[in-house]
Amino acid sequence: MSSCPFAKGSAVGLLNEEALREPYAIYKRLREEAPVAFIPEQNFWLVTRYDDCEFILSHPEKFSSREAVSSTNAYRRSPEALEILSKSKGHPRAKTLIMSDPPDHTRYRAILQRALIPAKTLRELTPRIQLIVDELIDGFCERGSCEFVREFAYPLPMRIVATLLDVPDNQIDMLKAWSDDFISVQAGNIPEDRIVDAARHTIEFEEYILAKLDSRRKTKRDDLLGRLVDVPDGEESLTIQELLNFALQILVGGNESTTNFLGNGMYRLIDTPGLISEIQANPERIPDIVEEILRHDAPLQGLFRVATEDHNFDGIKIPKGAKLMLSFGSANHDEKYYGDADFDPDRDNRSTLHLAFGRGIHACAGQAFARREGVIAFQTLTRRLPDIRLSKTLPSERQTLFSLRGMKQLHLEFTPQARKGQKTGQAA
Amino acid sequence: MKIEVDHKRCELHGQCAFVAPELFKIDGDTLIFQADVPEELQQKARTAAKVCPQLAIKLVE
Repeated sequence: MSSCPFAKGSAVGLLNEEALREPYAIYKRLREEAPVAFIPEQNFWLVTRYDDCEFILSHPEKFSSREAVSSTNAYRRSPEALEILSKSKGHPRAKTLIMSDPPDHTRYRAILQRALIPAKTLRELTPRIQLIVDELIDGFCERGSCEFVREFAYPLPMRIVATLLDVPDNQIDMLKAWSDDFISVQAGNIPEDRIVDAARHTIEFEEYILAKLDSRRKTKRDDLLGRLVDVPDGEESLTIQELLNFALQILVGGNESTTNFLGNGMYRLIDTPGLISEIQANPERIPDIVEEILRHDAPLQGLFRVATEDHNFDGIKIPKGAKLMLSFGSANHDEKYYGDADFDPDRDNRSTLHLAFGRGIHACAGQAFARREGVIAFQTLTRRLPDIRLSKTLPSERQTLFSLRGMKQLHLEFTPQARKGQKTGQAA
Repeated sequence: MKIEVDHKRCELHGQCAFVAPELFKIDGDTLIFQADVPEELQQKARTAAKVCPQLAIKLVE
């Protein structure tokens, strides 16, 4: 491996704009030449093969999740932001769920399941998902064009999260601002002059959620936040800090990655010749195509782990304490399981299921929500806007954040269609 | 090989039925599965256990 530029720790080029838009060629070289590669600029090891990612995900005792979502927390650069945060009720901030290890994680996950009740909640929410999908399409169908991210991919999952957190629809832009700030701070790409505002936003979010939790402590309510504070006899309550961290993870986990998934999916459907007409004829194929979208363009390109002991990956030695980024984006393109890995709507994803939602004890708790939103969205969009295509005049653009893959904007056009409300003579 | 499912953990994600439809089926609000796994489906049963988001599937060999 001495001739391998990656193994010597030289810059891999992963962070230049072009690679952020299309990282898969670099991932391929890494899988072949340096499947566990130290990235000095980021001070972590990038794990790019499916088997290694899966092994790490399946061994939480060897690889801790304490730093799972942070590459560089921008608050550390701002004493003023830290000062603001230290005086809030959320201080010191707790690390739960995605950022925790057993035995704490086991307890957190059980509490989340009891409060979220995914199967029941999703069954109850499904008609609402369909309703929101139709309302959003009604918002632009007569115009013959839309900016898909702003008008569909963002509001759909955010309104579902808002429903779960008992936030009215007219406040989803506020949720979005809080969520975006959190992501930018964690990703470290927030401009310096925005860090203090982001800290204030964090506190606004915490105060907002605390008020809702307080009202549920006074008057019981059978919803997600209500079930989080209504603890069965003999069980220990979550602390305020833990509750706020739960709420934050539900907010962020429930919107950003699903927005990216919907944008990636719409782009792939349009970009693959004949696929939209095939879906119109065979809508039962959508669930398999959704898996292929998730595999090909994992919205969350990776998460972090910290090695709790020395580890040897087929000759590459990782010291205890080393930080690793598991590249789901790369694992999902591993030639060992996926051949050329190009987007293929006919691919059989059942024998080796992608890692877009992780695997093992930290597997995404909301994945059924994302899948259901995607299936209903793609089914309804292709039915109601049968000739939907890329705009000839306005550009589409990918996001360029290392750990997220999605569309920043996606301008589409189509033959104008009547609103659903008009067609049926009822209000939407 | 025998399949055991912890129904308290199961949240009907349906990933088992997706990767091993011969062994698992979601019928309304119920997960139905075939407890005895024939030799030729053992690999699929292992995949199903691995991909369950709730880790609700246990295999007894």
